[in-house]
Amino acid sequence: MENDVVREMTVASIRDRPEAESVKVTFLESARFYDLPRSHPSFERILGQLRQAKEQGRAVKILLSSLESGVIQDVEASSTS
Amino acid sequence: MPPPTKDSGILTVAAIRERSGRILFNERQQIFTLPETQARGEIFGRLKEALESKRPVKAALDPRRGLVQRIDVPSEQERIEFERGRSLLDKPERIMPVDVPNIDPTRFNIVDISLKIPVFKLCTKIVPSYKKAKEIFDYCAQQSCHLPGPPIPCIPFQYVIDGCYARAHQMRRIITEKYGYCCEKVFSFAIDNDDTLAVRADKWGGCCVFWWYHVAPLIRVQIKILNFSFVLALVIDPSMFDKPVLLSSWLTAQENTACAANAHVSMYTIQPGSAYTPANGQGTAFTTDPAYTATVATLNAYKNLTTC
Repeated sequence: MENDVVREMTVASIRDRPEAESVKVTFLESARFYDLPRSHPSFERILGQLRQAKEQGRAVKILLSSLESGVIQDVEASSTS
Repeated sequence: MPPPTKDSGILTVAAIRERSGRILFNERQQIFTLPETQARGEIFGRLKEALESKRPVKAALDPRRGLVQRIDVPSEQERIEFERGRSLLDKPERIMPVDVPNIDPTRFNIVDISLKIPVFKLCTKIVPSYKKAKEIFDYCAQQSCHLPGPPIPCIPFQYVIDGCYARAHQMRRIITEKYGYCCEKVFSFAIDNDDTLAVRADKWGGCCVFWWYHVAPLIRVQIKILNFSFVLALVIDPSMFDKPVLLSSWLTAQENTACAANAHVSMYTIQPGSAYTPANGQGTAFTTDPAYTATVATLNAYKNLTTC
């Protein structure tokens, strides 16, 4: 997408409440909450990557549809990790 | 004594000014230039790659001539050690649980009664009156990116959703450098269970905004009423308010249960003004941004965004 942005951030917390439609993720570099929708086709993979990054304290690259978007589109390991 | 001819270290690139070939490192005040040698292109490429990927580099510098002599990729061990020791706030203040609905504002905001915090001993030049506090607030608010002809960098108060850390740090710069007063930071956290900080952005359209933490400059203000004199803790937060507010009011505004039933401030902490962002999810460690490089980058990134 034209406005896609990648932010390199470190996972602060992952709130996975089974009844919620999305998993709430917080990052040290941002004050807001980010959503990983359970309906995302790669939900399990992305959640696994986020959990692993949190355990290792590693930054990850978060793909967002725009700078102001709070929905995680994809994740990839940071080049610094 | 002239500067040394050799300096090396693991550094991060703050900026590359391509036209002038000037290089800025976050860890150095001096501006460096690229050498007029065959290595110039290779050094430039490595620096540019490091800037884009935010990776540290192993730099050999000549401070006397202001030259970057060599750039290498640090070893994994060097990188880990660098990351480990990277400008975290030294000896942060403790984080405290708070029961916001039951705060007694007649005591909670008075520094000598309820806020005997070691960090306050580090700086004694407090704001002398509420009038001066309001002047500081108004000056900060005038830096807003939504106003016509904003300064550079402007402060994106209109984008409440994120960036409080950069706004707070830029205001801290104004309070300490322009006005010369002490400035600490207050951080609030929603880190227990399903807590969230929830505010209504009344100044920017009235929608609800949710955070896992929030931060703003805290100033201590001398108040004199008749024969009484005391020091109040006030918060400067033009993204949410039109004037300096009591610390208790600032915390209360973040528990807007009309926005979220689980709106709750789990913890808060008052830190030195040098604290920038949380460095962990528990609010017990903080990053710093002594050269304001990360601050300015965020202010610029958010300058055109809106909230509601």
